[in-house]
Amino acid sequence: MKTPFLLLFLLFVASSCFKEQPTQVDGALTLTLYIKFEDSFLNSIPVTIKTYDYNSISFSSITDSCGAVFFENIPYAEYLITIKSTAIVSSALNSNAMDTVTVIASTLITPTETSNNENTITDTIYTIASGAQPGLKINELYTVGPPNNMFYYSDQFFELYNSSEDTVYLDGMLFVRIYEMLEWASSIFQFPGEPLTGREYPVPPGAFVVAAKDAMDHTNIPNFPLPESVDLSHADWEFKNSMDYGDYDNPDVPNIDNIEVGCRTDFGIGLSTDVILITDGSDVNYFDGIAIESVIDGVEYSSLSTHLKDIEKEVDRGFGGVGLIKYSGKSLERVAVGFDSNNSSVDFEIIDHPTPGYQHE
Amino acid sequence: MKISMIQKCMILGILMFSTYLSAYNNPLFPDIVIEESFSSTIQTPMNLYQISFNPAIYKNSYQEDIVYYSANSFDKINFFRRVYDPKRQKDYKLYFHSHKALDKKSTLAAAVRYNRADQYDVYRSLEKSFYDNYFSYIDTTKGNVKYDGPQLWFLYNYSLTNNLLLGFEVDYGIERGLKDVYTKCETVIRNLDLKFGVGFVSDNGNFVAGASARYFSYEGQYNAVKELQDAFVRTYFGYHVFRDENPRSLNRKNDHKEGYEFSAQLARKNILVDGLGIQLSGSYGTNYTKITVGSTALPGDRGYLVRDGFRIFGNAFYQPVTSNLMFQMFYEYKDFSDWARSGEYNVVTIENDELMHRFGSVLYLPLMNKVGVSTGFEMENIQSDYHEYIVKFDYNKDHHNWNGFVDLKLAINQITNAHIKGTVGTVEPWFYWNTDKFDIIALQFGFDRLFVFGTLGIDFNYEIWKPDGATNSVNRIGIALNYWK
Repeated sequence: MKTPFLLLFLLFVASSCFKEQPTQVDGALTLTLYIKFEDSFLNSIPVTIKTYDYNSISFSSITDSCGAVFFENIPYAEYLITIKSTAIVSSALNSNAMDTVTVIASTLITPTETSNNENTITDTIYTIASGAQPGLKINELYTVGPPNNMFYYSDQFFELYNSSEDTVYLDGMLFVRIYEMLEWASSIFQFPGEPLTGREYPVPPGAFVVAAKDAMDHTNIPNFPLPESVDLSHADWEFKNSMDYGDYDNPDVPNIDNIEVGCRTDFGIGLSTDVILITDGSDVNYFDGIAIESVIDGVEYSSLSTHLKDIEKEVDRGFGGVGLIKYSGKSLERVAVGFDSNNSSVDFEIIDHPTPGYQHE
Repeated sequence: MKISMIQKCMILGILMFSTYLSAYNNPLFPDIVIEESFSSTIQTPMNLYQISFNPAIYKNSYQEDIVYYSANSFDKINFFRRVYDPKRQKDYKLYFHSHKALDKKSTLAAAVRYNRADQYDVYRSLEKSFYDNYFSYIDTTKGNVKYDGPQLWFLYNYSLTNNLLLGFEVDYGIERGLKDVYTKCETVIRNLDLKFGVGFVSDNGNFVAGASARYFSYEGQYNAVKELQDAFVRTYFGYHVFRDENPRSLNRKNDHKEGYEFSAQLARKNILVDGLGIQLSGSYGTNYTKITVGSTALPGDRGYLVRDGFRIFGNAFYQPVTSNLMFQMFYEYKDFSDWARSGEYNVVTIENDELMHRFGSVLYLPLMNKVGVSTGFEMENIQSDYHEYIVKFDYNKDHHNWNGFVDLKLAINQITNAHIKGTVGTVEPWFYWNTDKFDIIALQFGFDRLFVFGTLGIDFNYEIWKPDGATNSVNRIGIALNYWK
């Protein structure tokens, strides 16, 4: 008589070895966001949420009169919230007047265990007026190369943007590629001119500057057409290592030259992972690293969500580019022109095609 | 027909068994094969081992020593196919099986099988069968894949007393696959299936009962090494939603599966009249599969899948000792549920419930001394209720499948047999086939001849699966060479 009970016991033990079925199903999450600018809730503001956890999942909605926006029955995933809009808000100078301002926000929201139990996430998103933390910004990085089977990526470029109200001067500024933290620069190129005091290469407020690895029309290379690449023949600057005699040089485009002793290669950077800085050029002694006071802007990017940071958080608190695919022709650009919260995870988004010299829609 | 009934029964069983011996894919409830495509001897009812897989009653089911060799090949051309199916698949199998009664108490059986499968023009899929998995792995390469590897099987049967039997069975297999395009995706699979059983046989042998436990584990690893350029690797969650994996120098996916199955069975022969018997088998089982993607140092959890359920199988047969007449009727009930959990959040992403009723019968009529006809039919109803939750997708359908066959057996002379068999049927496939049903027509014929060194047989098979509303079809051609003594 004991045998059946023993078998039942074994059955029970074996069954309990396995996982318990979760009580919630996916696709049932409700995300409620309150959108604020300073002390006021914003109505009629379009809000977009997008996840890179799954393919092509993005949702858009508009805030109601209470400044709330609801996304119902969405999958559990990490979402990038993006807001770019104009809003009518009370004037800071005259409380009876209204101002129209461009507001932007970008942040990441991840479901927690609590939201898992309750099937809901509620959060408040604080927008800021466009142009916060103004200055010279790395606005776009195009690194991955166009779709091709020849491992071609010479169409890399960087786009700078002056988001301040003052003209800034590029004289003597550095483009630095970082290997690991500020003490280890792996590539260092310099604009001509005298750092800090030079006034030969101005960038007016609201102007873009395109610095190309090779300033040529990459869509129209003889016998190697790359229609999904980019025409950089009219770039503002070109990286040219004067010690690299094979490096392409467009005579009509001024050069940014290498200053690293012994380096004979062009300013190429990682297709899907790297750190790039612009500095004011006050510290050119790269042997002891780059002085953090000289850094004007820095961007870290990596296609890997599990990437470990390679630069100090004072320079960039996060990293952008998760989901970037090599040779996809995609580019990494700030969510709004010049938008900089010092966190590339939310400041940048992946766009389908590079936009040298202008901001994507 | 000179071959004894017992031998025929054994060969049939081995043929069925060789189909089941599929350590590369040890499912929770292995299919119970009612008839083997390469068999000219469908005239004995199923035995209890065939429906229960309890190793303790193996000896009771197969009593004569045998040595059996088989080499067979199939060529399947998918003129009609799903997106990630190969355009063509060639399968080769070398099989050796032997079992021997060591003494009055012990029986030892062993089998070795070498499998090779060549898949041609596989579009993107890195899986051997994309649609058999809820979590499938693809990239952007198109090429040919070759899978091969050995399988080993051992079974030991021991009689503790005249009535009490013990059995132990091990099935172990490994397989390596290699895609011939530049990411050179390599698949390595290791499979283990262990069974332990006890059985009771009455003094007159008319009553058999048993219970068995099964543990199986499966480890699958996919490594796609890129050469400079990424191949855009994706993991599918179900059949509609995927995730683009992080580009890396080595794309890797691991499937880890473990499962248990417990079963009990009984059989009774000579009920009321000689030759009338029944067999019953019931089993309960559960298994889970965990899927990780990424490097070994930082694997990314993509979720796990749990399947549990039970199966009941019953067979009633009549085969009088005085005649070669045989009639059997069987019924199978299978009920299982699948659910998959998200890798990062405690939510269910996929659910599937399946309920199957299957009923069939086989009649063998010895018409004259030299001719016999075997005929049978099977019908099944599968109720599937499938849901994907990440992006809502629901599929709820009853599938009605049936098939019927007629197999004409002929003793050409005292040492040579021949058979010819025709089968027709209909299968209603799942949604990802993009057709409502397949009409199946199959024809097979074969010969076997007794020599001084044993019996040699050859079989040919041709099958057409014609989809409803399409001009293309799935064609399958096979040849088998068998030797036994």
